Amino acid sequence: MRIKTQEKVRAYLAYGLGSVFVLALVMPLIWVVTTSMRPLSEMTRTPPLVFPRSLTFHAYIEMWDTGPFVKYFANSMVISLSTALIALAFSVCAAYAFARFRFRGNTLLLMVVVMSQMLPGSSILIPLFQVIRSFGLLDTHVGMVLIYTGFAIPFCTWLLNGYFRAIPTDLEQAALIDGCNRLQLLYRIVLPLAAPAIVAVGTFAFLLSWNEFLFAFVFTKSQALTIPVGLRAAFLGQYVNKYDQLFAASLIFSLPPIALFVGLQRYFVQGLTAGAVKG
Amino acid sequence: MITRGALRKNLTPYYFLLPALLVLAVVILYPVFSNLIMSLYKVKLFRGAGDEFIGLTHYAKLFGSRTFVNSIWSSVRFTLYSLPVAFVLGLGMALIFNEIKKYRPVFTGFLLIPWAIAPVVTGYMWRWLFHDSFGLVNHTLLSLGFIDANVPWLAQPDAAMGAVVVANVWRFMPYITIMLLAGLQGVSAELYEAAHVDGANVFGRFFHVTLPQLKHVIGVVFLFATIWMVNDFALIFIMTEGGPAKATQVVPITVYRIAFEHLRLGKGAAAALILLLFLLALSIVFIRVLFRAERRSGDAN
Repeated sequence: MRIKTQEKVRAYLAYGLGSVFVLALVMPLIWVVTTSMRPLSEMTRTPPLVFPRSLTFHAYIEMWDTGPFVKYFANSMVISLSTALIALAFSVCAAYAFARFRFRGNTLLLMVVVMSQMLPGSSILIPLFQVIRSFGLLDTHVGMVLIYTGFAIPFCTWLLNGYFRAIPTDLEQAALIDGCNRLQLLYRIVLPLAAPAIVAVGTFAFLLSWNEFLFAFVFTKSQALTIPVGLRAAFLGQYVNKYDQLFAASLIFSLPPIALFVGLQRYFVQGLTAGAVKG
Repeated sequence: MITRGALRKNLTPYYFLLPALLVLAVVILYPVFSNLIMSLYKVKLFRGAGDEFIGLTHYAKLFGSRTFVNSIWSSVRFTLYSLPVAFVLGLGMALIFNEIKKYRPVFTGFLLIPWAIAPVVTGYMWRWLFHDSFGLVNHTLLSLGFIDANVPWLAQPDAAMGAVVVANVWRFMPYITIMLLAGLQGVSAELYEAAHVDGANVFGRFFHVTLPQLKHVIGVVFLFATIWMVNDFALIFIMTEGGPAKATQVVPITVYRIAFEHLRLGKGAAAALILLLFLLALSIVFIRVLFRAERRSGDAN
C-alpha cells in the first residue's frame, strides 16, 4: 500500500517537473509567436507586456509583400525538395551497393563516406566556393542543390546501409532467379521494405537544406537566396526592423521542420541514437 | 548468401556507387585536399597572376595574430560554458522524462522543437528576447529584482557571450535529453534492484548504477555536441555577428571574415584547417578513451 502511494507521488512529481521543464523550454517560442501577432504599439513597449492586449494577423498578410519573401520561400522549397529527391536516389543506390555487394574498396569507401559526415563546414567552405565559381554555379539553384546533396549523402547512405543490411536477402534471391535485374530488385523489393528509412532519410536531406545558413549566405546573392539568409534582407532594414513580420515569417518557415520532426519523431530518435546506445 | 558472396566479380556495385561518389568527390573530397593546398599559397579571391607559394607563413601569421588567437578563446569559452550547463539540464530532464511513461511522446515532441527549427530562427528569437528595452529577459530579471536597470545584453562583451551561451544551451539540451533518455532505457531494472538490496540510496544508485551505465552514451553526446558547438556559425552570427569587440567571434566566423571580407582565401583556408585538425585530434582522443573504457568494462565482466 505504501509503495503504491510512493509510486504515485513519484509519477505526479515527474509529470509536474516535466511540464515545468517543457514550459520553460517553449516559453521563448511563445514569446516570439505572440510578438508576431502584436500591433506595433504593443511590440515596442517598455516595459514589454507579457500578455498582449490585442492580437492582429497583419504581419502574416503583409510579410508576403515585404521584399522578395515569396521568392525566397520558393527558392527554399525548390532547393530543398530537389536536394531531398536527388540525395535520396543517389544514397539508395550507394547504400544498396554497400549492403549487398562485396567489392574491392568496400570498407575503405564506406569509411570515407562516414568520415565526410564529420567534417566541419568551414573547412571546405573556401575551396568549395572556388569549385562552384569555376562551374559558374554561384547564386544558382543547381549550385545549392549540388552542395546540399553532397552534405546529405554521407548520413543518408550510412543510415540506409544499416537498414538494407537488416532486410533478409531471401526475397531478392527468389526474384533474381525469376530474372529480375539488380535495379529492379532494388526498386521492386528492397525499397518498399525500407519505406520507413526512405522517409526518414528524405526528410533529413530536406531539412538539412531547408535550415542551412552558412553556405547559402556565402554562395548566393539574390537568384538562389533561401529563407534563412533572406529573413534579414526582407525584414531587418537599416531604418526599420519589422520584428512582427520577421517572426511571422520565421514561424511559417519553421512549420515544415516542426511538423516533420514531431510527426516522424520515432524515426529521428532512432536515427539520432542508433549506434550511440549499446543494445 | 548468394547475393553477397557468390556474385561474380563485376562492375555493378561501382555503377551503383558512381553518382553518390561523384557528388562527394566534387563537394567534399576535392575541397578537403584543395583546402590543404590553398593554405600554403597566397590566394586572392579574384585571380590576376598565379598564386604564390608561401609555405607555412599563413599558419605562423595566424598564431601571431591577436584576432585569431582571441577567436580560439571565444570558441573555447563558448563551448566550455555551454556544454556542462546543457549536459546537466539535459540529464535532469532525461531522468524526469524517464519516469514519465504514459504521455512521453507528447513531452519529447515538445522537446524536439528547439532541435528542429533553423539555427537562424533560434538566433533571431534570442536576439529579440535579449533586446535591451523590449526583451522578455530584461523584463523578467527586472521584475524579479535581479537587476536594477535594463542590461544591453548584446552590446557588452561578457553579457553577449552569456547570451549566445544561453541560446546555445536552449538549442542543444533537447538533443542531450533524447540521447540520455534512450540510454536510460537500456539500463536494466535488475541493476537498480540489486543496488537497492545492497542498501544504496537514490544518490548511490545514480552514481554507481545510472552514470556508469550511461558512460558510452555520455561519451558520444559530448563528442557530437562539442563538434557541433565548435562549428556553429549561424546562431552566433545572427545574434551578434561576432561582436561586440569580437567577444563572440568564434573560429568559423573568423574563417568567414578572413576569406570573404578580407578576401584572403589562402589565410582563411589555413585557419579552417587548424579548426579541422583540432576537431580531428579531439575526436581521436574521445574515441580512444571511449573504447578503452569499453574494453576495461568488458574485461571486468
